[in-house]
Amino acid sequence: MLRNSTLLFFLVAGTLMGQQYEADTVEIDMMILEDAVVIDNWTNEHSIQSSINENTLELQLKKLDGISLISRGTFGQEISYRGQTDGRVQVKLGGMRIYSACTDRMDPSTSYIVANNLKTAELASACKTSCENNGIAGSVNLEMKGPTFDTKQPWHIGLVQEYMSNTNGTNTAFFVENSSSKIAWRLNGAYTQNANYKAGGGVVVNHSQNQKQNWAFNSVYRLKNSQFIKLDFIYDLAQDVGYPALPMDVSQARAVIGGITYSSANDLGPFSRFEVKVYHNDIYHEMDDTQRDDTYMHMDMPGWSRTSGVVLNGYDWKKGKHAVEATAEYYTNFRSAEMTMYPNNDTEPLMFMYTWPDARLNAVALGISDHWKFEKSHINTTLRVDAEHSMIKESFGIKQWEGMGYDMSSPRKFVSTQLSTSFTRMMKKKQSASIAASFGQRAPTTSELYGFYLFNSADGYDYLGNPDLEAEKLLSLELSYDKKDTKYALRATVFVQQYFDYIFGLNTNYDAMTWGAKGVREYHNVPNAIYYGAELNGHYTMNEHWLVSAKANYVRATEGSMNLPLIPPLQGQARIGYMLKKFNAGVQTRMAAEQNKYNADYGDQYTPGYALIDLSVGVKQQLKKVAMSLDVACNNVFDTYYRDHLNWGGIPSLGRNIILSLKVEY
Amino acid sequence: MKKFNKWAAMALSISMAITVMSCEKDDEVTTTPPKDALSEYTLLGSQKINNDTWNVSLYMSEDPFVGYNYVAVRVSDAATNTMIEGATVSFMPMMDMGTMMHSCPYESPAYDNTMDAYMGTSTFIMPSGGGTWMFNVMVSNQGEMDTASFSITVMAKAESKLYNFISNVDSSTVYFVALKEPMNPEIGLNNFELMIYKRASMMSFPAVSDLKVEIYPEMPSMGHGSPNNVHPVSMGDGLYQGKVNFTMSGYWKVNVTIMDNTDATLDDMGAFDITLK
Repeated sequence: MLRNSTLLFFLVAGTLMGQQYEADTVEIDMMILEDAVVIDNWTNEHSIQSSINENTLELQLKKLDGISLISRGTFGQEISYRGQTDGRVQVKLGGMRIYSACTDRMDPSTSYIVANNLKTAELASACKTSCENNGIAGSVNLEMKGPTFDTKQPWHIGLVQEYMSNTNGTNTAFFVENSSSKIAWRLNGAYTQNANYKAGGGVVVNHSQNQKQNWAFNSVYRLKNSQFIKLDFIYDLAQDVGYPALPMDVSQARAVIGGITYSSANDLGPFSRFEVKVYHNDIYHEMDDTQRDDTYMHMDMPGWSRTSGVVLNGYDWKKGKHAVEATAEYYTNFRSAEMTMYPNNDTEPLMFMYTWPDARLNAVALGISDHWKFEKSHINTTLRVDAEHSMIKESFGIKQWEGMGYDMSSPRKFVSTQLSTSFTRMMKKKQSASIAASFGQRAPTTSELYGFYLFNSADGYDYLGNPDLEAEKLLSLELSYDKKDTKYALRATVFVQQYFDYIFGLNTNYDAMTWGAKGVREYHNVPNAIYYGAELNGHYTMNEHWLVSAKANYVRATEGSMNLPLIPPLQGQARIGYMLKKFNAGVQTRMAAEQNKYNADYGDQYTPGYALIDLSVGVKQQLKKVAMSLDVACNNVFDTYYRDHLNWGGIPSLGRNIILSLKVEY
Repeated sequence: MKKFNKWAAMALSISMAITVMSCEKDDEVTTTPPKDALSEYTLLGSQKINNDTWNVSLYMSEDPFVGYNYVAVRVSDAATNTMIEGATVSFMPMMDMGTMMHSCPYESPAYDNTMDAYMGTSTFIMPSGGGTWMFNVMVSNQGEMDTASFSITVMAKAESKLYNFISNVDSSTVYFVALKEPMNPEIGLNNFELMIYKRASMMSFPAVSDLKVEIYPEMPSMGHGSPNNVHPVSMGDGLYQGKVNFTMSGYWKVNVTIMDNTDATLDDMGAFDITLK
């Protein structure tokens, strides 16, 4: 019984060390987490990879297959998966949906979790998704670290102090963990501040400063041996955040995120365990241009987003060779953003409009995943249906849209179905191959439906939503090959994705609203768009001292004869790690080929290739129960001036950055 | 089971309470007191005419202003105070500038049952100050006839509702363009209505209905316009109806171009300032 409950706890707390599970329990979780990468700066002693100091969440996420980052500065970088972004790729935090409050995507969900508190990032492609996800092109779930029921040592405390030379920045983080037989909790706090960063060659990039604090409280209460209540809470406050690629900065971005999960290993119908999660989050975002001297007219652009949801997940319905999980979900979102302009002539009244006119989303979803295991192969199938109901509540906003000639008397309704299936065949020599296909639909995003003259500084156009958009459809095909051994792992994936009714901004002859904008683009369904590419990922542990790993991604995306914008070029990473007793060292190269398949009309420019070298050394010392480590990393050793193709507005990326990091843990 | 009953009882009582409350609400809506149809109008004066047998009252939809004004007249029997509905009522607004006198465009009224009044319009072309405006109301009923003359003060609104121009084509004809709608502009699509008159003589300002009108709204401080506007087209009697789209609040300027039926531009310098608060 005790063993059982320990096992359960691991499931509840979501510790993803596969070997801790009993073989048959692992099945489902392993399948869901197939693409999960365990990234752990705190405790993962075995991971040589972590000796390269990735002190930001963004650098950690970049380790995932197919992930690139869209950058408007050094803060709040946005995930691009296989060249596809927000709306097509879903990012959840601990299973909770979060809709950003910024019309310019300055606040992706990834910004609410800090590097030292990220436990795992689970990535599911369109073809290999599970019923809990509905990202049409892929889903990412970031899990925070949770507490552990440690009967031997009730208290755990840790402290990190980091210094970043490039931004003259500091990062201070701590955690406190406590557990008794009934309750376990963990508090994680972090405060980061950075001055303007320097690109290669010491070029200062103005308006790139930032500071933020992040508090995360996670606790588990044991009701019975087989029942737990989990509480997750995040408070994140970023202030004075500069976005060099945009004409405005952010004076304040605040997120309050909370969820309660009840988890039980008792039967619920045919399911042998289940959990219910209730969550709510409240995001406030305030754009501000008072720090800029060259503004034509001062304007305020606050945004609000509040999301609530209830999720019921049932796991482990076993029948014969089948294992089934199912999900039922309700979620609701309120989003509003406005713009107030202050005319230079004081006698004129203020100018005001809703950029997101009090948009309300209500949705219910049902999903089911089946894992069908044969002797040497398995078939995973997922079916999920989301019914979304979307409308504008505010009459001012309704009139804005009626003024554009749309009938706003009835809400927009979308029923989106996602069906995916994969067939995996185990072969000799620990090899496996899989073929997977999926069909998915998605409802347009708030900006695509109701965004009112949202300025996109990447291409210099104001974007108008289109309340009459159709749902977008995606057909995906994915082939992959795996070879896994204790010493090495290799994975190769090729994919092709064909969109129908692809949502894309097309030119209009309307006047731009924003001063200096080139024109207005309006979202339309274009007949199709195609994405294809490949990913390669492998590592090899030569012996207890040496580890080599490498990763490469390629994606190409077109719409008719046109290249789609913001598509990363061929990119790669390779690293060699060395470990000797208390010492570790690593060398890493980050590379990108030139991007000559760009779209200048949509804000792209030619991006030359680059190759960077990162170095790191570290030492660990154990003094009784206190573990200490000191790491020094130098990213972009040669201070190369370079630019990632996904940087907005052609801003350069970070130059040489020396990171000193001291960690103490009890 | 007992527990269930308790919950069920509570749920039932709550739902009943809601039902009762919502019924009460419905009742409130139906009881609205009858209202004077001209309660929103401003009374500018009453006069007894025709040997004190008729009482004539002059109303306008607001204090008279330079532009297109809605005018209401009530005529009643002075002795019995009953409304006289079958009379013929006509207007003659007159500006006395000392050295000269002139009238302005107007539409003489017809009796409107819903308003219990004779409803017409008057488009004042200048404010009081340069002279005095007299608003003459001629009433004729059952062979008797008399005129009531009201001295009124016409104000110029901060945002002018009227402009005039001399035709570029013949360099002599003076046109008056009055903004009829929107009087209470809102965000989004608004009806945009103009009245266009020309000066035939100092006493005659006939409506002009064979022109082409184009409108171009803009926010001067931002330098942008708005999409989805509809150019006004003639509906007859000098009325031109179109649509204007205000995409945000603030100060807008609606530029107006007026052409004749051969597409020759009569004027393209006119504009209405419209501020949405």
